[in-house]
Amino acid sequence: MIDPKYRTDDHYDDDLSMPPSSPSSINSTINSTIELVNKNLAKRYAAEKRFQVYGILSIAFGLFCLLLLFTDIISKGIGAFTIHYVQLEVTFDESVLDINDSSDAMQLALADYQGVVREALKKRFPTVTHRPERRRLYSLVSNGATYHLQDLVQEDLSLLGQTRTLWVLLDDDVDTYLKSREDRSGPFIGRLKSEQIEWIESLYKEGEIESRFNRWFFTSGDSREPEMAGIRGAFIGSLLTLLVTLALSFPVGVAAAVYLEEYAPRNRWTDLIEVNINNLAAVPSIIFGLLGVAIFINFFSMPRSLPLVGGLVLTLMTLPTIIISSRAAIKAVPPSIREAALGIGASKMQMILHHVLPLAMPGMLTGAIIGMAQALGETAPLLMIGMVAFVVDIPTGITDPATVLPVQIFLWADSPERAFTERTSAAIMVLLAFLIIMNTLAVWLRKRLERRW
Amino acid sequence: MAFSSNVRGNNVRGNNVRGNNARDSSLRSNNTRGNNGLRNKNVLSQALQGGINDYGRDQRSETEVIREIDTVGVPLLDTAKMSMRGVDVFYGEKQAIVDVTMDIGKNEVIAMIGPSGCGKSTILRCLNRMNDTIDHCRVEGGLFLEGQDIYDPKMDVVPLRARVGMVFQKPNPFPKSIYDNVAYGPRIHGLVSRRIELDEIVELSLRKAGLWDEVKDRLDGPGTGLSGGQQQRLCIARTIAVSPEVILMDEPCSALDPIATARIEELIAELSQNFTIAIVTHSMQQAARVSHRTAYFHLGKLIEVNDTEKVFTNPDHQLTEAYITGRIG
Repeated sequence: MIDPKYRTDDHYDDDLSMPPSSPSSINSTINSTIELVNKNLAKRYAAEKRFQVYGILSIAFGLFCLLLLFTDIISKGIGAFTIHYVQLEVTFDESVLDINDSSDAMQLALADYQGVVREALKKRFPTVTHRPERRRLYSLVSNGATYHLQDLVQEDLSLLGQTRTLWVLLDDDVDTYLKSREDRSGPFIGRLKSEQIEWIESLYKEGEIESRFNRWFFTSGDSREPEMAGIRGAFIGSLLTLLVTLALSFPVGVAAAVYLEEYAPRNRWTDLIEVNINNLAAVPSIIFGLLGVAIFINFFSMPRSLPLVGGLVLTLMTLPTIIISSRAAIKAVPPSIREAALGIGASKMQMILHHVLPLAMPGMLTGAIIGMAQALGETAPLLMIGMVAFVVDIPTGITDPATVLPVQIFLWADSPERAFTERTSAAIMVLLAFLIIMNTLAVWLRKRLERRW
Repeated sequence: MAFSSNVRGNNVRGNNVRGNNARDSSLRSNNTRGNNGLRNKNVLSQALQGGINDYGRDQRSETEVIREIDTVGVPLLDTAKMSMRGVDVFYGEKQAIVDVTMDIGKNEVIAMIGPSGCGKSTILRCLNRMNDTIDHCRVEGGLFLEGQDIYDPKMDVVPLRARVGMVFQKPNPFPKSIYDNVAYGPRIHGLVSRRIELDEIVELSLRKAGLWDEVKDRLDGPGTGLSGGQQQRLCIARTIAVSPEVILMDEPCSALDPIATARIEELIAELSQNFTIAIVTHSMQQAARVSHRTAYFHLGKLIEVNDTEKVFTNPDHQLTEAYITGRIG
């Protein structure tokens, strides 16, 4: 509102009555100007307030959505970080294991560890005698338990013939049931039968079932059994693919940007190249996948599903981003620095290497970060080159078949088993963490290089 | 293309001006010369009568009229360090420099003055081929450093720029330490092999630039952390670290306060004992204070070159007089 003291200005009224030629008429003009300004002032302030409120609302909306996303993902995925184990009295009976010569590695590998687990379960529930019932009893324990026992025996042969109390992995259905016991909508029963639930409950009450950290999720590759499926394979696959992408796209992109910015003459050809680079940055990523199939797989006959091929395809995709941002960064280096270097007698290459590139490096890194983040989250082009395959083994190099985190998420989201739902969300959390760590690292690196004096 | 016929016609070569004491000798010789340097004096007189920018009477633009003026004064010297012979510079279609012929004497300070856009910076930047970086810039005519053609295709710009250093309008130290700023030139040219020699060069250059006492305790500090005047002296130190023969200064004080300017001017006077200096300046007082000879440019044409004292007391050309008395510019 307008301040009343400006409105009812006595002086102003007096001045109006005076003849226009008198010196005080100047005062009156000034006063009336102030009056007009004041009249509009309230309106202007209100408009400014509104302007700010729009901004705050937009930010609030964004934060709200982000919060919603994180709450949803974390609440769904947090369960995947724990898994339930059951306590069993396992007797490593050589006759059950079918081992007569413990020095034979083949026998140790092929021994019937499942039989030992079954024996243990039979011992725990002696009343279960009916065959189909027994089968249901056996299905409570995961196949993963047998690998666990095998590892134990191979490590320590003296276990043979002895009895140990061990914690072994439960099946994913049991795990899901136990995790959803406290849910308001009731536990998720799925394929479990009523007698199975009784056994689980009895084990639970006796304290023979325990929730522990799910190391499988971080140490194993993909699996058909949800309780044994992990993201390690996809994580390593992503890492290898990104390494290939970074190693190729950053030097190539920077070299292209330096040439285009510093050496290339301005003519129709360079204009054409520039337009094409800008257009390529906007091409849908699946097109690059098709290009990858056509060039690397069909023409060069490279195998499918390799991080090497994935990296090459993602390089094609990220190159335009890196070139554009690098060119902008090079352009932003003040001409006075170039002149200073040239004026002393530095050659063009020395000028670029000693002055332009160090000053442009933070900007180039920003472009690389954006490109890498894009590449990390990319799914579509990798589907085209076969990185969507079911890969159990953890890749050890860029020529081992692998999948990547976003594709793994896609695969798990597609799986029917209930336990994969929480693993999907957990994998998203891992992907986001990967992204955040990578970006933090890059930002820190950029800050260190950004020593503009 | 070696000599402009205009200059030869005016018989300026007859004036023997020596580099070091150019001031005294040329004063004497010029007194006897009178100002007969104008072939188109009548055209210009007309122009001057009707106000300097009114050329409507003979249907020609100011540029065209100016271009027909011959250089007056003493453009040529016996002891030339650098020479320009009929130099034309074009930016695309536009001609920025028209037929400039002049010498820069050994160990002299020559000031280049003139209104904005008269081409004085352009001609300065031709002297160490800094214009190469501008895409559509074309230089014609002869430019020589001790008889060597600067624009010879075989001429390597790297050693040329080591011999003809440059100080720019805005202080432009590298975003590195003070030490590295000065050491950069000797390092890239491989002038030294050991650290101790480099230390010596850095100290000597900073001393010559009058900056040593101010920065000796913080050589590792950032060059850009200095004040404007100190930065400019650092740039001068950086330039003299490679021991050039000629230093080109493009309005070195235009971004500085009067005290810093005074220091730079003192420095120029000291440096002129060892270096040949060409300085472009907008300040006529500065030109009068620091230079031995002064060249006046107008619309890309070199109008007059004379001893500084003569230019500022009794110029040969009306345009020069009009400029120094503030009627144009």
